[in-house]
Amino acid sequence: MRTIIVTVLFLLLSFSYSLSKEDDEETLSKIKALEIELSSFESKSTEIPTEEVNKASKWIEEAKKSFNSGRPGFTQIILEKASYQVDYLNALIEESRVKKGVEEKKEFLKKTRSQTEELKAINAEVEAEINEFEDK
Amino acid sequence: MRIFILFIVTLTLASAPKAATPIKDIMSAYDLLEDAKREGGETYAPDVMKEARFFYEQAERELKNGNDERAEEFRLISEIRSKTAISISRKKTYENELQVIKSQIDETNAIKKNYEVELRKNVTRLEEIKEKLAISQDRMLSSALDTLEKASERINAAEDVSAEDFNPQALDEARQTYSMAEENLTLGEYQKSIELGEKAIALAEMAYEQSKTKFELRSGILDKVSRIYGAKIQHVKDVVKVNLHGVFAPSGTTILFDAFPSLDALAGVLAGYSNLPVTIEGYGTEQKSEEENIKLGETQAETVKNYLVSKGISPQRFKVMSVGLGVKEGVNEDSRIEVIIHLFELSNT
Repeated sequence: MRTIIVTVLFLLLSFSYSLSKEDDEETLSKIKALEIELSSFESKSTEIPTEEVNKASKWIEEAKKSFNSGRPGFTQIILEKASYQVDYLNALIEESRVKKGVEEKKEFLKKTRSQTEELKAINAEVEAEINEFEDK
Repeated sequence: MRIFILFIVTLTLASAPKAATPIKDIMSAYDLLEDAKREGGETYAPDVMKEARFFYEQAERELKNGNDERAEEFRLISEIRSKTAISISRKKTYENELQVIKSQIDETNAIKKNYEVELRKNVTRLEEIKEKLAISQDRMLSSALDTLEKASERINAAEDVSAEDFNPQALDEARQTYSMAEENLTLGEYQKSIELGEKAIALAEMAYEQSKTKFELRSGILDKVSRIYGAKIQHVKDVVKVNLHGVFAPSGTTILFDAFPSLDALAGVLAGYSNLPVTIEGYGTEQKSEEENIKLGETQAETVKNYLVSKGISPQRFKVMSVGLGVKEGVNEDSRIEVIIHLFELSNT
């Protein structure tokens, strides 16, 4: 009976250790993924406020520290917060991209309208010249 | 998966240690939620809004329970989600604006294209008109130059027949009109130049036609009277003047013998132009008074007339007058007789 109990306890401990190891790997890979994503923001976007990027960066560091301190639960929270922040940064980038597109199109529209007005004026001049010649 | 994450985060935060959080921070999350609503978060990012509300409620609950640190974490996540919802909403708004702008661009491009097509058409038309006009202008210039050349020739022809003497007004008008035609040519007013040139031609031709007969008549008479011995010939406008000297002795009233050949020759010329009126003027001598000279001139002129009548010239053609001792047209010689042949016909007088 004792042997059975010891064996069951051993199996439970082994299973628990195995689960805990899998969680650690997942957390590390999450941290790595967030770091990679964040570095890509830093290198390609100037439209995002630096303070918002810094927040994400700070929280990733906090998550790392928390992980190293052996607080997996708290690490998870910080990581989720950082993940939402990265999501927010992505939204900002998208917003900025579309906003830029709007500005470019507005400029293009302005230019096209100006060209159209110019064409209209030239056309009026040409028509006036034609009328003048025809009157002669 | 999302629900699982929310569950894990909630569970973990619920077991986190407590810390103090000022109430205004929770309010800031609420304000952001309201902002997100105003920006259209419910429409454009409903899931994100749902999460923002959820975390806000969690923060409130934790705050009520005195779990300030957990409340702070929920607040932060709620704010991040609200800001994300705002950003997504703004992006959607920009996308909508972009659609409107794109349709405006399409519309403007269509108008622009129409103007381009119309302009191309009009430019082609203008070029054609200009080409035609250039050809027409070249022709007009050529025509104007021809007209001016012709007018110049006609004016020269009129001058050649002494139109200056016989129809000075028409010749003068022709010259002035010619100058105006030249001026218009310089200004590029070819049509006007042609019109004026044609008018100048008409005037010059009129001057020519009206002068030609008299010119030929005068030339014939001049040719003949120039052969009369001792005669001095002058022509002024439409008269030919024949000055005869030595017809009479000074103060004499009898024709001298030597003068007969000249008077006979003159009679011959006058016989050839039977319709032309003739004026005979007698001049006196310095040796007599003016009154005597008048009488003497008249007698001498009458004597010459009678002689010419005796040679077969009609007396109706003659007009006789005495000038006395006059200085007339640069000639001042005693006892001379001036026979003036008028180039207009008797019937016109």
